[in-house]
Amino acid sequence: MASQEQDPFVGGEGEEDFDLMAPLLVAKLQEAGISAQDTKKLSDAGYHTVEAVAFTPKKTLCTIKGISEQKADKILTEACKMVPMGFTTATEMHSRRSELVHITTGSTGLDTILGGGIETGAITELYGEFRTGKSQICHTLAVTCQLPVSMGGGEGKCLYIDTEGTFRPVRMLAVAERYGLNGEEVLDNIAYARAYNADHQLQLLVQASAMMAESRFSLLIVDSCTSLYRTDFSGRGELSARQMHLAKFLRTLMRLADEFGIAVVVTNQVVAQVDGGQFAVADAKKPIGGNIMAHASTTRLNLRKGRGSSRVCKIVDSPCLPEAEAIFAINANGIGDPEEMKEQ
Amino acid sequence: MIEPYLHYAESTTTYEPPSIASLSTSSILFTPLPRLSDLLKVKIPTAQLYVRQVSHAIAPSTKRLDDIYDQEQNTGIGPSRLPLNVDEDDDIDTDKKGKGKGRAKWVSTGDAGLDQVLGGGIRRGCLYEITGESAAGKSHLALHLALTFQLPSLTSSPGGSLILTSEREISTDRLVQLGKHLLSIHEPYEFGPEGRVKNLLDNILTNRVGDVDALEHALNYAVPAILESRLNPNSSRINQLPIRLIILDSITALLRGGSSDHERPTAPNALSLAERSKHLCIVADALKALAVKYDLSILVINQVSDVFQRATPVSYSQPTSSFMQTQPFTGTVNVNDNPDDIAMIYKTQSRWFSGESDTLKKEASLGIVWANAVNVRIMLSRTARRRLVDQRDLTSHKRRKMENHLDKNGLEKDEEEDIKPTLIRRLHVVFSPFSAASTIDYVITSTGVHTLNESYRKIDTTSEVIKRQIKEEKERERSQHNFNSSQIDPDDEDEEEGDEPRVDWDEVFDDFGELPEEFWKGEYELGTINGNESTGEPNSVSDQVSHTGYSDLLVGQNGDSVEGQSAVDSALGDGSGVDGGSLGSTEDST
Repeated sequence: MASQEQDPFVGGEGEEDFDLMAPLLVAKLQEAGISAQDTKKLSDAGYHTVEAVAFTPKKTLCTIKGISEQKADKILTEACKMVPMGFTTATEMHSRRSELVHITTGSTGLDTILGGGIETGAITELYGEFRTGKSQICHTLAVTCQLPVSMGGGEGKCLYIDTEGTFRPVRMLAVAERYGLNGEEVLDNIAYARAYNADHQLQLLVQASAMMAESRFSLLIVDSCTSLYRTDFSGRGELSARQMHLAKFLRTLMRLADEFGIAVVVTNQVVAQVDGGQFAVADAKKPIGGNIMAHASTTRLNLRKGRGSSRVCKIVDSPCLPEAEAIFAINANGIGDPEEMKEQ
Repeated sequence: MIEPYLHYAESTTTYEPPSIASLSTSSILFTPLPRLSDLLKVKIPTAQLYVRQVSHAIAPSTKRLDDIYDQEQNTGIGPSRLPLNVDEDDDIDTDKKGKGKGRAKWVSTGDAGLDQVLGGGIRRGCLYEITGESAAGKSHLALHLALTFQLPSLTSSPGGSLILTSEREISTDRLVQLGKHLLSIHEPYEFGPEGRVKNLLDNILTNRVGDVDALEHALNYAVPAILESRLNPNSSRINQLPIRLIILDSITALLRGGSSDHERPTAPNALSLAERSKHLCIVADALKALAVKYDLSILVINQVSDVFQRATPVSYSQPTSSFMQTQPFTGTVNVNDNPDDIAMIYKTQSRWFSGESDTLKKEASLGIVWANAVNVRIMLSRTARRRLVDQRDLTSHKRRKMENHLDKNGLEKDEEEDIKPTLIRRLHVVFSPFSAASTIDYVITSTGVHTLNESYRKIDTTSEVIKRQIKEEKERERSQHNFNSSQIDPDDEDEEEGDEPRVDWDEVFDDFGELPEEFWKGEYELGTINGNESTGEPNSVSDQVSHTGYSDLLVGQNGDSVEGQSAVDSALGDGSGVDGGSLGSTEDST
């Protein structure tokens, strides 16, 4: 059924004649009624193609000598008519998304509910109490992201930003063995940084983008994203400063995910709600970070403890995945399926 | 185009005055009289006469509202004078004042309950705002509408959509899934819908806008260009519809993430708030101009901020850490000096339009400027209630007891897959020119957004606000007298319950679906439920149905957090992006 679905969407390129067009020279604007003098002024100022003009803000165009505000208005209106301006149909986007890389988590149950694994180009947030497996998933992902795409990986390095000091390379060696990778090389491909305060955490992202421009990364882990904010900003008085800072951090993460096509995984802490007297569930937990955190993460996963070494993961917020639960286990060699499933 | 205002420099250098006939009407009307009379070499009264005559000649004929209304209904031509497709079946529906598709300006949402709460559907030419907490279903509702706008059975003038995204790309998988279901419900044909789903997606255009400047640039140039190009039917593209819906998802993300990248993010100060208001006005104006000119609807998605209970009104305390380096904008009025000014504080005014309610302690972001710019505000929220709902036909089920589980094993299994504990969500029309303030409950299933029958409630905003104010004052008194209180006063809660009509269905508090499967099947392993030992009887839990949300109890009951007087309260003067979901600095767990 999946292939029948794909057929209408793949192979529809003929309709879009906007693609693969050679850039238009700015002289083409003359056809739309712009005078030759004006187009000459544009090309003298460095705008040689209609595309360059269309994407320039009006204020910048007005700085060109001889182009008044009305002229800039008209030029932009005509230029935007000629150039597609980046709008694509949902159909194209859908066919592009079918090529999206998912990074396997190591557990088939988890991968299934996530639609193949952790999505690249988006922020996935894991939250849960202590000992629910957040850091363990991060350690496993740090290795699986290096696998080739055919095996469910991301074919790229991993950047691990640690704020709580829970980074244990020995866990990663165990996972590497499971997939048959060379332990040394795997550790070499993980760039590790320890953040000491919220500002430093933000600073690290600047270096991160420099590193990502040089070699191929497929995953960025921040474990945990909010613990430093909890200690650096205290009290109501600093709440708005904290949220602004967090918003900026998350926007930078989103930009990195977009620009370099990496998967971003952040872990979050929870706070207990003490006055849950009304509820049937005695021990309700809510992730911290407020509305800013909630809106920035694309997918939110709630982890809780099951029996023994098994853990339950539930999708809480996702743009396309329905609410579903999966059971996974923390084994010696990383995240995997719980024993009962294996026996079947 | 000749500039209407005639400068001296542009007039002819000869001494012959130009004749009146050589001037354009706009030149005659816009040039001030003294200059006009100079130019034409006539006296001022004569120039006045010319102006009057020209005005009479070009004035449009006036119309009565009745005539305009009838014209719209019958011929389906909107004020923008763009001809809309007229459905032959319209003749039947034009007499009805109801929500038929014959009403040319209205687009049905495909769901009767939604149409009812919105006053007929989505109206073209208006700016709608959908706001709500995360995971409430805002983007999903926008996708749903982007698809229903294209179905000819729901509107007399189907059209495509333009989606501008600021945070993440649209979820095309869900679009495909929804498209299939909507087609099968509203336009079932014999052959499979795959090709037609592609048509639906072809008519949805999308693009990313990175920041506010990019948005303004797009709204001024790129979007009009696309709208124009889609108006002219292009023979090479069959099934291409004009654009009838523009969605902006979301506007808050553009204005929250920090103004410029090189500055350290600081608390919002007066300057940044003023700049934000400027951007909001520009964007709102541009959107509304597009809505009117091209006869389309605009949907803007907004986010929420938390509302804090204040022990005392507006005060400000010094921050204790070095991170706060600028004074935040307090926007306060010292109430003690001038008690009349309490009406001017944002918090007092926002009670009417912010979307805050008894059950939801959150308000729409972006403050009063944005609230005044939108025509309709819709607030979506997740209630904490879950109900067993059959996903196919949306009938509600009661939880079964253990005995039934063992009989007819095969049959039980089939039914169980479709009957799931589904989260009930609430759609609250905060204000709208077309419908009363009201709420309706809905669920999201694989087939889309479905409202639940019998859940439509009208709200009397005035009495709600008064009730809330009385409650707040009681809270304030209580917190002042009773510093150590963190218990919910049971008497107050009973008052709350009286407002909500009793529901017969088994609804349980389960916001994130944490109750185990066994619970829904009728066996309970939970320790205690509201102080009673679990008896395995469903009645003990269904008695607890009442309508408060999580944050209601978190904020305001915890004595510590409420007493703190803070800058945040005053910075909320404009309802700017201050969020703090949970403040439990003492109850941490990692």
